[in-house]
Amino acid sequence: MEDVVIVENVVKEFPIGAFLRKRLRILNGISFNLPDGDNLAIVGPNASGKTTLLKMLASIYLPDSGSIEIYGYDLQKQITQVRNMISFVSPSLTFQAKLTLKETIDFFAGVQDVGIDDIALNFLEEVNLTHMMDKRLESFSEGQKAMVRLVVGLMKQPRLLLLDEITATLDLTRKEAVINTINELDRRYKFTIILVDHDPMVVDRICDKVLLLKRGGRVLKYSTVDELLSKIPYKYDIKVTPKKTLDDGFLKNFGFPYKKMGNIIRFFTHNHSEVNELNAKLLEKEDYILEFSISGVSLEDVYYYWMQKETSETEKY
Amino acid sequence: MGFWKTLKATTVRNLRVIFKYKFEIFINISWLILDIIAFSLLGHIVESTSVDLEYSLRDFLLVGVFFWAFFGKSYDDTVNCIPEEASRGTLGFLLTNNVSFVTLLTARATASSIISAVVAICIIFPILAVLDVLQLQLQWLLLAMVIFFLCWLFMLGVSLLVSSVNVLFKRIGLFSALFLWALKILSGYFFPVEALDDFVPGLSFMAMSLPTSAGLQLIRWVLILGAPPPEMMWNALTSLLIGTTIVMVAAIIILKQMEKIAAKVGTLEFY
Repeated sequence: MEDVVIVENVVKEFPIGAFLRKRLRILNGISFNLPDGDNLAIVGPNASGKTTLLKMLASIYLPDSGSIEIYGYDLQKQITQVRNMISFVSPSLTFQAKLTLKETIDFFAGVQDVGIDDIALNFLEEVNLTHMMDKRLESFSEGQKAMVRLVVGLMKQPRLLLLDEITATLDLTRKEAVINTINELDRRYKFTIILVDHDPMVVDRICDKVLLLKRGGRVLKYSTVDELLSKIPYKYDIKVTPKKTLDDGFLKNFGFPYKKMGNIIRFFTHNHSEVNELNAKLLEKEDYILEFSISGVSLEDVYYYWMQKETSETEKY
Repeated sequence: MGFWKTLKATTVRNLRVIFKYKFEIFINISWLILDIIAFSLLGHIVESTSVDLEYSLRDFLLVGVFFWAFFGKSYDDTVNCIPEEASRGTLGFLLTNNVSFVTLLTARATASSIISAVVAICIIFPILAVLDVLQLQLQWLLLAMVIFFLCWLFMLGVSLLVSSVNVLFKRIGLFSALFLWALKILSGYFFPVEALDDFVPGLSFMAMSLPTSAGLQLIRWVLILGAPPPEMMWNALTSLLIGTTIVMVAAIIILKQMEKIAAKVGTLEFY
């Protein structure tokens, strides 16, 4: 299977400080290949270089060393060809507020040299925005603007779609609508997606592979979503919000591994029967507990698990 | 072909945006009319003491207002283009679609200049005609259009040069305004260029090599006197052509280099 994106040993530094004499290294030797047909999520903590890497793939930044190839074209030497194939969508795309949707679509269609009859109008119809063509964008909600951003990004039918936290400002309903729309369009038009998003649900629903970065701009893990999830030694976690601070002696009595995260306590279980057992014990201690919730492992767990492995903490599950 | 389509789409958008802010257009027109009133009064009160003018100081000043009405606002709008696009988040998107800074800035300059030209021709030109400033003969209309076009290209080049500084140094403050004021002073907007020799001998010769200085002088001859002196006309046109070509070529090269440097140092989008 052909690799859509080949990133080899990419380093990126930015000049900082007085007279820009110092350099801050954001990406430190990033390498990965993305096969055709796979969608990738770049995840990691703040300052791990996620958006920098995405913007480099979008050709907004250029690497200081290393190489990036997209569909066989070198990003630095054949930047025009690369830009013809990619589309970069970010929530910072806020549009001219006084222009109508039609005028905005006309503009972006013009600069991308595409018609607005095909993909753009069909998509607008699917997301129920065609009746707003003559409305100014200043009257649009955040969810509607997110849809417009997607329309603009998909208009030229890019081969590679780069999405930078496009669901960041959306509520759950809007997020769900955006995810469903992206998946439907991906099925129909078969483009490759690389996205940066903090929400594990978004990553889970859209992506096949995850590039996990750590602070300092290095790759912590690069794997499929399923493989990463399967490596987690527990299947369920129960988040408990206590009414007051609970000491370790009290928590150990529950008989399950746990971790304190601020004022939240997370218990880890392997199977349904352990979940039921812990559930019953928590209900017995309801005088100490404000609320608790049960969920299956997600990418949030993936990240914390791999970060703990990396920093050699001694939690045993 | 792609460049022209993009230029057209961006210019149309810019025109649409300009027309959404009608109050701003009204203020700009008001400002120009105030300039006409102020300079008319100035020309009426002040007499030139060191330079002999072939026409009244009032006519001298008012044609300067008419000339710079074509370029001043569009220069300001063009220099503000990149920070404005960056603030709307469109800069990154446009760059990733092969829309260069040169295209963006040219489109902004074109849109703004269309409005400025309409205002100058429809509002200021009739006022000058009513005040009996104009002696324009139709046979020189084409020359006047060529002069304005070359001066527009020169000012576009200056806008590109100033914007190239803005690409790297984000807060440039009054830097762009300094350029405009210097060009206006050296073009003979406030006083005859020859008067500069009273301060620095030979400065008027250097000033007249600037396209806007040569252009304004030519326009004054064409509009006030009815025709330019032939030998001086060709000298002025040569200055205009050579100066404009040098500035445009240098500006495009420098701006493209700055774009690459900004992409390397990571400051392309941030303002």
